[in-house]
Amino acid sequence: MIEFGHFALCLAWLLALIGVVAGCLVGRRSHVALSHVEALRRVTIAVAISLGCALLGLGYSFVTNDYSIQYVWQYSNREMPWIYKITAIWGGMDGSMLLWCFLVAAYCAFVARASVKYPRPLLPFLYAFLNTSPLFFITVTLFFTNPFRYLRSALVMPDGNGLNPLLQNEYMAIHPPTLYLGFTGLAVPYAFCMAALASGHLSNDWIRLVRRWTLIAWTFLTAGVVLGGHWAYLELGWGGFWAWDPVENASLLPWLTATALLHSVMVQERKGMLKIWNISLVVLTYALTVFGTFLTRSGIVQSVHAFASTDIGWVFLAYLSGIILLAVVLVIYRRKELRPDRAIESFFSREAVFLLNNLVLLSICFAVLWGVMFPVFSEAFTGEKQTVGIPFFNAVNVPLFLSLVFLMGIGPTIAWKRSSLSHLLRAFTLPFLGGFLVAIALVWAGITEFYPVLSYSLCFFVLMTILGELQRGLSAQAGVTQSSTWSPSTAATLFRRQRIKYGAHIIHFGVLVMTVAITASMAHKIEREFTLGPGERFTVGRFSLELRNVREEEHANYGAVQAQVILRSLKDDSILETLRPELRFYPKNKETTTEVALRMGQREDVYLVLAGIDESGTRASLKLFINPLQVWLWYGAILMIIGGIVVAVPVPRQAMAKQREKERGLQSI
Amino acid sequence: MSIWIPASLLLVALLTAFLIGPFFEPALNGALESIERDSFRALLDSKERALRALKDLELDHSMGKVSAEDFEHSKLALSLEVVKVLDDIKRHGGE
Repeated sequence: MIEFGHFALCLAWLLALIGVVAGCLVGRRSHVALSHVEALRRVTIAVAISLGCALLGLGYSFVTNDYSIQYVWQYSNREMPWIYKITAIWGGMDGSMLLWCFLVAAYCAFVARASVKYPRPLLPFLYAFLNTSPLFFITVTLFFTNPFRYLRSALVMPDGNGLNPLLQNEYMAIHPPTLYLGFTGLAVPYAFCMAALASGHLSNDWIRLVRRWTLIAWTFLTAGVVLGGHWAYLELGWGGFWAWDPVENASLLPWLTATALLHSVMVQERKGMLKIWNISLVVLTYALTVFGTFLTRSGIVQSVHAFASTDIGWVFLAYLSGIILLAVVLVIYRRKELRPDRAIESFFSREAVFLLNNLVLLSICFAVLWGVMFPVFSEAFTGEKQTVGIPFFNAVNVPLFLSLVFLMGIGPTIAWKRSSLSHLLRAFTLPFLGGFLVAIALVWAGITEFYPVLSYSLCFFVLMTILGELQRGLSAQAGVTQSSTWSPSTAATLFRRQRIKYGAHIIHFGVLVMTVAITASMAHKIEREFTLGPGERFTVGRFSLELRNVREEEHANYGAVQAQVILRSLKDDSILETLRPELRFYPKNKETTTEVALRMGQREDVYLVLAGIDESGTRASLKLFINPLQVWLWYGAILMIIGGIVVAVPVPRQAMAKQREKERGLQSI
Repeated sequence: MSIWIPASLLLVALLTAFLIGPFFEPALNGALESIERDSFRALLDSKERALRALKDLELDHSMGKVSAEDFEHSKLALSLEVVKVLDDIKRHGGE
């Protein structure tokens, strides 16, 4: 089957090449045969089908333990549970590139499937640019990171090396594909943007489509980034979820620019402004996804997430340069059509606040990028590799993130074009007062550090603006339908009519919940290291920990030393849970990993790591972290994803028509 | 014979049939689509944008976000814009 997979990959490459070349040739004509457009659409779908076959071929080799294949031998072994044999497909660089190819082609196929409703003048170039990403990534896979290579040795190996133990975690089944769905999805807005520039069809059609597809990718990217944080929290054993690691940062960069784009795109849709700005954001977002791939696979930065260093960095850099150069040339060529329809009239308008929000998001993006690339620049200019750590990222980004939270309260509350002074006073007096009172209460309660106080007060301020906006919306809706402001039907009608607006509020509320959780876990975290013998106790915060014993265990593909620690409440000495942190040794990989014992709670997480055992094998060295409100970080992320789905998934037309009919009926009464 | 050769041949045959299908569909074959309709599309965009701005303005006004004076002024300007765009669309032969 491996030959079939390889053949399917070659076929996909050929089809993608045909898609790009034929798309450009057809797009240059002033009159296009519909059969050509339809054939191009089908080529785009066929690329995904071929890549699906290639992925199946590789998956079959993993499931059937075909160790004659180098990649399978390197990342799998017979003892691994079947789920890890599947996740091993993307456990190494070669397979992850193939998965990337498939996902980007699958997105393109979905766009092609939906494209029968899209504006025709856009289509030939759209198919050409949709096929550009698969063509590039298939080229890299085929010529530089081919997973279908046989082992050089003539011997058929009886067993494989096995997957990196850190990756033998259930989150690896879902985190990389979700993250890749976010990354690869951003190729779609890029294709729309370039197709609009190349065809000259620069009306609002493409920007509307960009918003929908960016939102889908953004939702996946959010889920992928958070799942990555959750994996790091559970698996890496350092007590946190985000270490500003270069590869974590690489996933954050396109998320930041995509978030900026989702805001500024509304300004273009409504006001015909920020046209070049939006094109720049689309291209930058796509370029940053390619840059992230380059960062992970080139070996220029050190990271726990990075794949082995290779010499394919220049291929990515060449593609990256090509993307940017082509966009610049096309923007210059179309500059007359890209003039704004009007200018911003007032600083107290939603468009002005959205622009400010974009500038803050890009500032964060630049700061993170600078931090990531600093070791490379310092080595290039001084010959010495200097790195910037967590303090740099926190010092720069915390104030920027907080200003973003502030703008999150302002933006949705004020009007397009110009807000009246009376509205500004009415909308913000109470939230400002509320935020101020929260600050005073916090200081009174003993929390005196500047950033935590500011963060909690800002969150309260934004929460009040969201609630105020909801109340005003309900009142206005009740006026239209002549129903009670607080009746569920008024809320349901309002939500249906302004689904995008209230979906965005759900996202913003999720951000608030996350901000509170991050602030609490940064400002009030407790960290202790101690050693316990059997029956000995250690007390911290509201808890006491007692070591029951240390025992050894043998499993199919690893051996473990486990400490059994009884967690008690200090209040009444009742047993809350028995925590079992482990040290695991994987003989095949010759690697030791820590398995965290975690007690998740609404107030705090108790996070225990077994750092080591003494020579007698009875005393355990433990590392304890008490992370306040940690679980709320994940709840906040779930809210953001739900909000993303609410905004991205369109309401069926029939339901919309029914609703309008109902409302018309009500109005006629 | 290894199974991969017939499997590959089957894949090629199926994809070829899928790809050349449009060239044998009478409804598509020979039909030409002009792609120079941008000025008309731009007018439709302007209409949609002006109507949306009008809707946003009314919503903002009902929520008390814009003053009565600003509302009247902006509504008049937007209504005139809609009328102008509708006139232009009519001139282009649209409905």
